[in-house]
Amino acid sequence: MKKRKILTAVFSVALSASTMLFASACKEEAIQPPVSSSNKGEIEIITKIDKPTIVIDALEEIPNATINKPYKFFDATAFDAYGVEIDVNVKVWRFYHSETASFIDFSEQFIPTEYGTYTVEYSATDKVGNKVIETYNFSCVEKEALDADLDLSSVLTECEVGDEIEVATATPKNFNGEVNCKVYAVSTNSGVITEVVDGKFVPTYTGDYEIKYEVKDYNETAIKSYTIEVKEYDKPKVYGDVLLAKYYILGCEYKLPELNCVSYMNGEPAKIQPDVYVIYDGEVPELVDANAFVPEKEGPFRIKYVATLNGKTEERTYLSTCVDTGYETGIMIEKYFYVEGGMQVTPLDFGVKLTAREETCGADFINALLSRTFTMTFAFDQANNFEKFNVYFEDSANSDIRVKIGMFKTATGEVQFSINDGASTYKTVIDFNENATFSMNYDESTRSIVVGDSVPVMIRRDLKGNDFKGFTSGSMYVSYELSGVNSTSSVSVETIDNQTLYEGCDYAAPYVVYNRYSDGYKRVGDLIEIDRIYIGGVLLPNFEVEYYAKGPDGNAPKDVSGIVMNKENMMYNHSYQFRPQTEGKYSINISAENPGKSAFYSYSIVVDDFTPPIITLEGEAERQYKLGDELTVLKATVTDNMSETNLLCIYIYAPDGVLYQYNENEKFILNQVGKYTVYYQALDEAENVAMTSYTFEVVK
Amino acid sequence: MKKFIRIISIVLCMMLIFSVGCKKEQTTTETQNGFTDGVHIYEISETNEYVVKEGKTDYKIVIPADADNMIVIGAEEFQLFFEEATGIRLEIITDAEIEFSSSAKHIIFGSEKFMSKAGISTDYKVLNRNGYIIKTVGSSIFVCGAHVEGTMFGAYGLLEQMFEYDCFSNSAYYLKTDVTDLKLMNYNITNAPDIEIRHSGFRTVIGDTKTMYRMGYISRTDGSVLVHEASSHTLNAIISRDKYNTEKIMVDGVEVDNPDYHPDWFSTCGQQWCFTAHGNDEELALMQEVVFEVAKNAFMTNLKGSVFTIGVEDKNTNCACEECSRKLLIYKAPSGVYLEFANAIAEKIKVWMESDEGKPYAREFLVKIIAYQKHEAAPAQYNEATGKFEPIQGLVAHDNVTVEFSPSTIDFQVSIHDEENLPYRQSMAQWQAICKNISGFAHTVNFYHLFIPYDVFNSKQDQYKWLAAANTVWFYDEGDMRQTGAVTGWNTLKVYLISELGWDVNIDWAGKIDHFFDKYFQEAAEPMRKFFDSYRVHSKNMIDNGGMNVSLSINFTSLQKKFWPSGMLELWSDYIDQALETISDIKYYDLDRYNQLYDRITLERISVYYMMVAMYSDRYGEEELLKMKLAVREDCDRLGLNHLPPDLNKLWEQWGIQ
Repeated sequence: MKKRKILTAVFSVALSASTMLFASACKEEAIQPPVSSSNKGEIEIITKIDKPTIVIDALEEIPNATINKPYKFFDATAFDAYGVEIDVNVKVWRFYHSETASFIDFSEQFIPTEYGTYTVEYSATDKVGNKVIETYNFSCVEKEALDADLDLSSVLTECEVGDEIEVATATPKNFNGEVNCKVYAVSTNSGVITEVVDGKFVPTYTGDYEIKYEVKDYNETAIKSYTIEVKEYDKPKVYGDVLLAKYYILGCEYKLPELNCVSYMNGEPAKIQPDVYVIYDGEVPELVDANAFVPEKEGPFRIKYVATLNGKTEERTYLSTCVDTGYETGIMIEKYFYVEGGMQVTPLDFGVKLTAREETCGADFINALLSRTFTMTFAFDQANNFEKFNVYFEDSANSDIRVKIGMFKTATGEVQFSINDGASTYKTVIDFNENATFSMNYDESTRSIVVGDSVPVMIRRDLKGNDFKGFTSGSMYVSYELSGVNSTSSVSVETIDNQTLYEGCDYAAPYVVYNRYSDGYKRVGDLIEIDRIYIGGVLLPNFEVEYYAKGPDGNAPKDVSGIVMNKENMMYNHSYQFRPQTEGKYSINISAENPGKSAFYSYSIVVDDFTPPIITLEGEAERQYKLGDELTVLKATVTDNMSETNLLCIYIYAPDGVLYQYNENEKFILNQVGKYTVYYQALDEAENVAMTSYTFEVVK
Repeated sequence: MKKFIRIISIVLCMMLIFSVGCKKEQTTTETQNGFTDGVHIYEISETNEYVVKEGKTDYKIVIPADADNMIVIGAEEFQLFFEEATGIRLEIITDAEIEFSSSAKHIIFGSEKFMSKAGISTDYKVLNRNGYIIKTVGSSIFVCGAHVEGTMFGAYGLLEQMFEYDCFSNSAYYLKTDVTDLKLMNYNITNAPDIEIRHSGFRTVIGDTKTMYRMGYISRTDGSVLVHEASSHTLNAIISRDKYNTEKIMVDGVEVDNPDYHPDWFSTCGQQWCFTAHGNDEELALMQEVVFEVAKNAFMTNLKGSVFTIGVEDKNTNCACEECSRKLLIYKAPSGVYLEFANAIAEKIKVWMESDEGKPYAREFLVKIIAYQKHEAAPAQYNEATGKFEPIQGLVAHDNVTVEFSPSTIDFQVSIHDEENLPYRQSMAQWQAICKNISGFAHTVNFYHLFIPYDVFNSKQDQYKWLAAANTVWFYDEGDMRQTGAVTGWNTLKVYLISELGWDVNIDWAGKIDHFFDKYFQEAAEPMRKFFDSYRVHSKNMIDNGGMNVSLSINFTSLQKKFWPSGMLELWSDYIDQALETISDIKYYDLDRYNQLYDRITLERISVYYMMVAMYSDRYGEEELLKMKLAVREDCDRLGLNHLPPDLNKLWEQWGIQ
C-alpha cells in the first residue's frame, strides 16, 4: 500500500491523444499570453518555453472504485518550466475517449453511481498558456465489503505475563488494490495499547488482551479481533543479555552494563536490580557494586548477575579478561595490545611495534574507541616480508558489525587496500618498505575510510556482507593482523586518536569530537540546535564531563523543554534545542577530564538584533521652494528596538546629481533649479539600516 | 506641424551655472569649474519626408569608394542598428557607383565627393579628431568628420537622433525598436568632444573595439594615437638601460666594453634618466638624437599616430646630478629639465617634418611628457603682483609638447574643487601657465579592491569640467583594466557616465543616472535605484565623516567592517533580491531579456556578496555562506570577472570552492 510511484511517464503516451480529442475543452481555459511590460511598449512575441510537468502521487496498482461509495483521486502537483508550482485542476470523465465524453461535477467527494470505466484528468497551465494534461483510468465495480480471515488454528489463547506471544495471521479479502493491515494488543485491565510488530508482542499486564486487526485498502477499513488470557508469573523475567567489555584494565573503575530483569507481580511491570558478582579463576563469587566495579586480578574472570523475586532467582554469567596496563604503577603501553601468541609487542621510543612470528597473527587494542572519527598513524619499519596488513573494526556492542581493511602489495609493487577482501581495490601511496608514518582515518558521518593519501572510500557492507550502517553503538574495537608472513615482519602503531603511543607515554586528555555551531548569527526566538558531543578515552576508558551553556548574562539558558542547560542537567551525549531570549553571545562549553589530563572546548553562538531602526519625520515637507531659498529639512527622530544610540546622516541629492551633506547648524541655500531629494539614513548599534527620503522642487 | 528644436549646450551650461548663490557654509554647485567652450550644436526640425514609412525605405548608405576602415565601421554599425530598430537592412554603396542628387535618398558617411557637390565642409579646428557634423541636404543626410574617426562617431550620433541609441556597456545598449515610421529631420548638428582625445581605462570597454567606439572612445594604445608602442612610461623602451647603461657586454662569450654605454644619460639614482646628461652637452646632444631617431622611425612606420610619449619611470625619483640640481634651483621643479628635453625633441621632429625627408610623414603631432610623482610640479612661479603663475626664465612648452598631468595621491572621491585638492589645482595652474596642450591622467577605481565600490559619483563631473576648462586635449581615466567581461561595484554605471562626460562635460549628470536606471534595469529600476541611492548616501557619509577620505584612496584598504556595516550590505542584498523578484515573470515571455536583466542585477550582487563573505562570514550559516560564495563564483565566471588582486583563483581556494 505504501509503494508509490510517479505517473507522468506512465501516462505520457495517452497524453497526446487526449490533448487532441479535447482541444475544444482546453480552448475554453486557454490563458492569453501576458502583455510585456518592457520599455518597448508593445506586445512581445512569447518566447517558447517548455511545458509544465504534472507529478501524480499514484499507487503502483490503480484501485477500483466501489459503486456508491466515495472514491478519492491521487494527489498531484504541477510545476512550470522554471520549477515554480502552479495550480492543478482535476476532472473526472465518463467515456473519455468517445464522442459522448462528459465530465462529472462533484464538490468535495466523488461518489461513482455507475459501473464501468472512469477517467481522471489533471490539467495545469503555466503563465504563458502552455497547458499539459495527464490522465488515468479506474473502474467502478460492485464488491462485498472489505474483510479479513484470522488463522487462529495455531495461536495461544493463554499465556503468562512477560512471555513473547506470536499472534494470529490475517488474510484480507474483498480489497481493492493494495491493502494494509495493522495489529494492536489492547490490555483490558490497563487500557494500554501496544502495536504488534512482526507478529509478536510481550504482554506486560495480567488479564485479557484483545488482539485487534485494522485492515485498510484504498477505500475501506475493516476491524477484526480475538482475545488472549494473560496469567500471572511469580519469578523474575530476564530479557536479553549484557555485553561486557572485551578487556578490563586492572585497578580501573567501571560501570558494568545493566541486565534487564522485570517483575510482573503487582499489576504493573517493575524493574528488578540484580546482584552482581565477580568470579576470578579458582575463587568464590564476590559481590560487587555494578556502578563502580574495579577488577583486581589479571586474567580471565566472570561476572554473574542474579535477579531474585519471591525467593526465586534467575542468573546470567559472562566472561571477560582483565589486563594489567600499569594503571596504578605506570603505563605499560605494550599491554594495551592483547595478543595470544604469534605476535610480539614491543614499546618503542615512538610507537608500539607489532612483530609477527607466525604466518598469520594479530593483536587487539584492548579499549573500545570512539567511532565518530577514528584516526591512527602507523609505520612499516622492516622489509616487506608479509602479504597483507589487516585492520579490523568491530562494533563494541555488536560483534556482527565488523569491517576489515586489508593493505597489500600488487604484482607491480603498488600498495593498495581493499574493504572486507572485496574485489575492488584502492590506491594508496603507502610503501611497505618505507620507514615513514602513514595514517588511517574513519569518518562515521560518511562511513568512509582514508588510507594514506587515498581518496575517501565509503564502506557499504560489513565483513558478513550485510549493509553497513556504521558502528551503531558509537564505539568500536580495533585489531591488527599481519598475514602471509614469510619472515620477520612488523608494523608500528604510533598514534590512536589524540593519544601518542610510546614507551613511558602519558595519558592524553579525553578525545572529544563535536560539531562547532555553524549556522550564523541568530535572532531572538530562533530555534538553535546543539549537536551531541562524542567523547572517548584511548588509554583510559573513564572520564568526567562537564557540559553547559552560558547566555550573555552569564546564566544558563533553558532548552525548549524547560531544562536549564547547566552543568547539572546537560548530558554530553544528548542534543539540545533552545530559543534565545536576549541578544548577545551564548557559549557552549565542554570540559572532559580523566585521571591524566583534561580538555576544554568552547564555541559561541551570536544572537543579534536584526530589526532596523525607525526614522520618523516630523511635520509635512514643503514641496516647492524658490531659487535662493534656505532649506530646512524635516526633523527626524530615530527609534530602535534595542539601541539607545543610533547614527543618522542627512544628505541632499541636488539636481546636478551630487550629494551634499546637510548640517542643521548651517544654512543650506537652494541654488539649483530642479528636483531635490532629502535622504535620511540611520544605523543602529547592531548595524541595522533604515533609509527614508522625500523630494521637493526648486523653481525660479 | 513643424517643430523647431534648437539646443545649444553652451546656453544650457550658462543656465546651469547661473546659480551663483554659493555660501561658504553649504552650497550645491561649484562656480570655478565652468566650461563653456564645448561645441554641441543641435538644430533639428521636422521635414515632410520620411526615412522609413510603413516599414519601408528607399534610403541607402553611401561611403567613399576608398573609405577608411573607420568610415566602414561607422557605416556598418549604422546599418546594424538601423536594422535592429526598423527591421530594414540598408544597402551600403560607394560614391563611385552613383552621383549626388539632392532628391536622392542617401545617408552619406564621409564622402568628400558628395560633400563638395552638396557644399558641405568640415573644419578640423572646430571638430578636431573625433567631432562630426550631421546635416540634411535635400533628402540626404550627411555624416562627416574632419577626421575619419569623427565620421565614425557621427554614425552613433545619427543613431542617437533617430532611435535614441545609447550604449551602456559591452553587453548593454538601448535603442527604439519596431520603428515603422521615421520622419526625415532637417539636421544641422555639430558635435565635438570637449576633450579631444579620450581613452577608457576599463578593459570591458577597450577589450572590444566596437564597444570602445560605441561608447565614444578611441584606443589608448593603438596606432591611431600613439606612434610608439608603449603608452606612458616609455623611456626605457626608447633609451634602454640594458643597451645604454651597461658598461660591459658579452660578445661571443667574451666580456667587452659596450660601445653604446652612455652613463651620463641616466639619473644618479639609476631609476630614471638624466635630462641634462650630467651637464655634458655632447652627451645630451647624442641622447636627444637617439630619442629623435626613435620618434622619427615611429612616425615613418605609423602613419596615423600623432602622440609620441617621453615618459619617465613609475618611480618617485629624479636625477640629482650637479647640473640637474643647479637647474632645480632655477626651475624650482625637477620637471624643468624634463620639459627642456621634450622641447628639444619636439623641435627636432617639427624641423624634420618640414624637411624633404619628413614631409611625407608630416602631421599634427604632440610630444608628451608625464607630470607624475617627482615630476608632477611644473617649472613655473607665482607672481603675487599679477596673481598668476608665470614661466621661469622664459621656459614654456613647445607648441607640440603636451604635459600629462597625473596626480596619483589625490583622493578622486572628493571634488577637485574641495579645499584639500588646492595643491593639485595649483599644480595644474602652473602647467597651464607654461603649456597650452594639457593632457590628463586620472583614476576611477580602488586598485586594491576591484570588487568594492569606489565612489566618484559626486566628484567626476567636476574633474572633467576642470580638465576641459584647462584645455585638456588628451585624457586617460584609468579604471579596472583586468576584468574582461564586466565590472561590479556600480562600475558599469560609472563607465557609462564617464564615457558621456568625455564628450560633454556639462551633461545632465542626474538625468543620465535616471536614464541609465530606466533603460538598463527596466522593470528592476526601482529596487536597484534604492540600492544605488542608499549606497551613495552611505559612501558619501563614509567619505565625509567615516575616514574613507584619504590620500591615495585608489590604493586604500577599504575592505574594513567600519566602512561597510553588515546591516548596510544586507539591506543592499535585500534590494537585489527584490530586483530579481521583480523580473522573475519576464522569463515566461522574453527569456533573452530576462537573462540580460538577471545578469545586470547579479553583476552588482557580486560586490555585495563578496563583501558579506569577506568580512562577515561568521554571521551566516554554512549553507547560506556557501550559497553566497557559489553565487559570486558563478556570477564572476558567467559574466567574465576574472581578476581580483592578488589572485581570484586563490580567493576561490580560500573560500573552499575552487
